[in-house]
Amino acid sequence: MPCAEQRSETELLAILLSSARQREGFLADRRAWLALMLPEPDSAGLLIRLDAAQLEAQAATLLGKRWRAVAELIPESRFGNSALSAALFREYADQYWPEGHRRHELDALAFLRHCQALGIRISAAELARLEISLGQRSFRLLPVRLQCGRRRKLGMLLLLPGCGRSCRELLLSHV
Amino acid sequence: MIGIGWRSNLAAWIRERPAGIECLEIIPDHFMDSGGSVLEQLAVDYPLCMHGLSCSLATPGPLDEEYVSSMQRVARVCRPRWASEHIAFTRAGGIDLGHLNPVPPTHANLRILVEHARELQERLELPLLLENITSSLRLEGQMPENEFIIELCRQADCGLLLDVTNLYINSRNHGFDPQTWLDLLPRGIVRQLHVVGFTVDESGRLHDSHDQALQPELLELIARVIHDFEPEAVILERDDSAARSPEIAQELEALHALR
Repeated sequence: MPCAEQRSETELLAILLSSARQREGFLADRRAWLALMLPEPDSAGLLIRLDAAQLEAQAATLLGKRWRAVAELIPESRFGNSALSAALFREYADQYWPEGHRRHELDALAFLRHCQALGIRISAAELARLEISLGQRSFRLLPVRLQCGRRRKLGMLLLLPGCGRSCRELLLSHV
Repeated sequence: MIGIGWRSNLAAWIRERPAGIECLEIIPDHFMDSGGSVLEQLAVDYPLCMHGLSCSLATPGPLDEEYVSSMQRVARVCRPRWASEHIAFTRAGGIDLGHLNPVPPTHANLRILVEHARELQERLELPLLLENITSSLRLEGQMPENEFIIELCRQADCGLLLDVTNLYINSRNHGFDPQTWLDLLPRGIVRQLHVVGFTVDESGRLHDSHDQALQPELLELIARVIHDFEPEAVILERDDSAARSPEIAQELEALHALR
């Protein structure tokens, strides 16, 4: 990361809280890290005295809150193993901090794509719902299995934009 | 008044105007893309207050124009009695952390917060309340946290939205007496309360997960705060989508019994 401009302590805290790699570098040698970040490292006295355990705890809290919000949006893609999916989320989360009031949906979508890129099976319907509600796709047609009493049939699910942020779903036909 | 934060999973129940709900708090983020007619109806049915999440008042530099404009739009539709925001930053240095983080109680941060709180208040044309947050980070500064908050409210001409749960969690996690913290606050500063139960992790640390019923020790502290500060509104902040109306009605009943 290039040195140079004077950053506030708040900006430096944001950098530390957002990146495990930056925290590792900072906690290994605080003065060296600050020298890379600030023209006058002595101006960041607060960061020199920062409690390492509290910093890690706050970073973990932020990730935990992010994960809870994302997990609510993708109940079908949590692979039936919440510990595994939370660990996967931690791996992904450092690389991307979505912005704006729809950040939870953006986060969930980016996480599903990250899992998909790793070859992990996700719910195609959940992916489509997020893409449609975020305006990144106009519709999606998906095959679905239907249980009719003791018989199983194939159907088609059409997902379309609904009102506001919602996604409309129509079961089109039985094949 | 005692009320709850509006959440989409509780919308149908809230529309029925249950007896325990005397007022509602709305979050502008829930209505930024749609829901104008819902908001208009809520404004007819209840006294409203508006609670911002992402103004990031403690971030150096200008306020987030898009977020403030959205708050203005929502306020125009539902005409809340006041607005509130947090004494915190959610973004800085080009990173949107998405959740609340503390800033050290320094004179420099006080100036930033006062300037932003005044600007927000003017632009919303509403009284503004500022809320204390909970944080795993206990940051040192040039004054104690409660002094910083009092000075901020005084200089920015704002009231305090006292999150009793946040105060209780911080007191337990960082080892101080919440009553001593409260003793410094002047009467009249607390206009609204936020309350919700907390969770305890395996290490014994408390968290504001917003998905638990109020614990007895918390109710005891809330009762003392209501008695000492006489806030205008107490808002139960349940965020979990699994929260059911009978459970929430019971919690509201417990809050009514404290008055």
